[in-house]
Amino acid sequence: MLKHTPLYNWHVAEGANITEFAGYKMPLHYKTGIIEEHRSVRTKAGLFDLCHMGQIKVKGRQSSEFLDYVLTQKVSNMQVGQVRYGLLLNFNGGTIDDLMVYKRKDEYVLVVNAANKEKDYQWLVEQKGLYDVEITEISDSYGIIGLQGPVSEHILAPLVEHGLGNLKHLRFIETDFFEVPAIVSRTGYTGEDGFEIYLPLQAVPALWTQLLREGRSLGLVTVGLGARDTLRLEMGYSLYGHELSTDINPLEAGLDFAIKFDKDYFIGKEALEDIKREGVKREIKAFFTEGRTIPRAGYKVVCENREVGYVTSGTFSPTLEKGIALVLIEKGLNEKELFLDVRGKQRPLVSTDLPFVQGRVKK
Amino acid sequence: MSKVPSHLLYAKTHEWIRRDGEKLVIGITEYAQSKLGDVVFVELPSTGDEFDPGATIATVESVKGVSEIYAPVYGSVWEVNEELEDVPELINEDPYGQGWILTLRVDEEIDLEHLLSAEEYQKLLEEEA
Repeated sequence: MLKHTPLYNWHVAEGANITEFAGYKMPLHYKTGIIEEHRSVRTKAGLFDLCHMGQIKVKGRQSSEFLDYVLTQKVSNMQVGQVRYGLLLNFNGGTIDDLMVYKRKDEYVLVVNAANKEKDYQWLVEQKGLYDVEITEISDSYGIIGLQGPVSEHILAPLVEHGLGNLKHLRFIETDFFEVPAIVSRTGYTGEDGFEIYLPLQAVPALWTQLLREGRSLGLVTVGLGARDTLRLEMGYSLYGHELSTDINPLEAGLDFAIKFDKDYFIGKEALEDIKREGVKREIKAFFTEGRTIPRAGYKVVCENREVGYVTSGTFSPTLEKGIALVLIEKGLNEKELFLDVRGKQRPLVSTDLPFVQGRVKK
Repeated sequence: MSKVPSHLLYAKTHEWIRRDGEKLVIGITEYAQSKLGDVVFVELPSTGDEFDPGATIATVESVKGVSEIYAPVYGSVWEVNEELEDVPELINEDPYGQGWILTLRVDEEIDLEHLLSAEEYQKLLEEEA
């Protein structure tokens, strides 16, 4: 049985193309199409239904110690109002999920991938042991609206009681919308300035409609999962199930910045140190394709007629108007000799640096 | 539910086919284009290329994915819609008209019995929905 977010009827009424994602019926794109939605976020603003995402509350006397134990990120020195990106690893160093940690006054909230929320919750409960913490999955009580793009602040600020003040990237404030308590964070996964708003699920449709009413004249459009993916891929951001999985460790995925080896211990640390000692064998690299070739996840990469890796994510970049790909390949190959196998034909891959498109988050 | 033109024949793989003597005009249906979304490239064969039934004759790439166009019967490519090279979105905008993909030259007597009528195709769409 597929789940719906509280905005499902709205999406259908707007003629959205609906797809199944992580057990939910979600909009893939609206009538305007992925390219138009993508460009709106890069130039103006886009509104995203993120109510499918998972939220797990961790509360209790030892919540900081517990999260330092299960996450690669350092949590115990976070300030109230701060957000950090971290990884949940298994004991082999494989990635169970990537997530955002929100530090509130008396608790932490972990925002996790929709497809992984039950798995993550189970894992956390299994690791709890003697830690004095209370772990609660709150995904079905709270919803998330994403507002991304250069004019986001302009749309949102007038609706926030005391304004957004000097809210910085990876910070949040607690405020009210229609007397409903909410969290507003300056976060997102598009590379643009923007916000994510957390509020009780039943209050989501009213805020959604109000944001659209305020934002339409400034160019705000609703954005489906299709453009959400092309936006994050232009930034080279990892997506669980593509660049990250239990079979791809975070060192291969290039996520060293989210791994704090200076912590005494965290689950997966020893395994990652072993991997480091032996040398990381594969890496995620960025490539363009030429002409009419569009790389797709799963396409094989060959070097001198030998299979050396595969595309983890690939698409047509609406900004650059050509194919872009993240590829998991053996380390140390001659990048000038790499080809993509497209339905039996070899197409050249052109090595590049990340991001594919320059981001504009407010630091 | 999208409208299915009654004068065309259809393949289960969501191509439409219009017979015109020894010429078959082929494109993708409204349903297929709506599933694909924004088309960005179309890879067309060369005129004269011959294809067996079920072979891939063209490839339509959208932002989201790739869709192959299959030969409904044995034939050789007669014409390709070169306009799609510059304006691939014609497939989204007018799938049954300006968004046609190619024509195949076939035996005038060729049997198209295995293709679906508009009514049968409509039923297939209802089942997929």
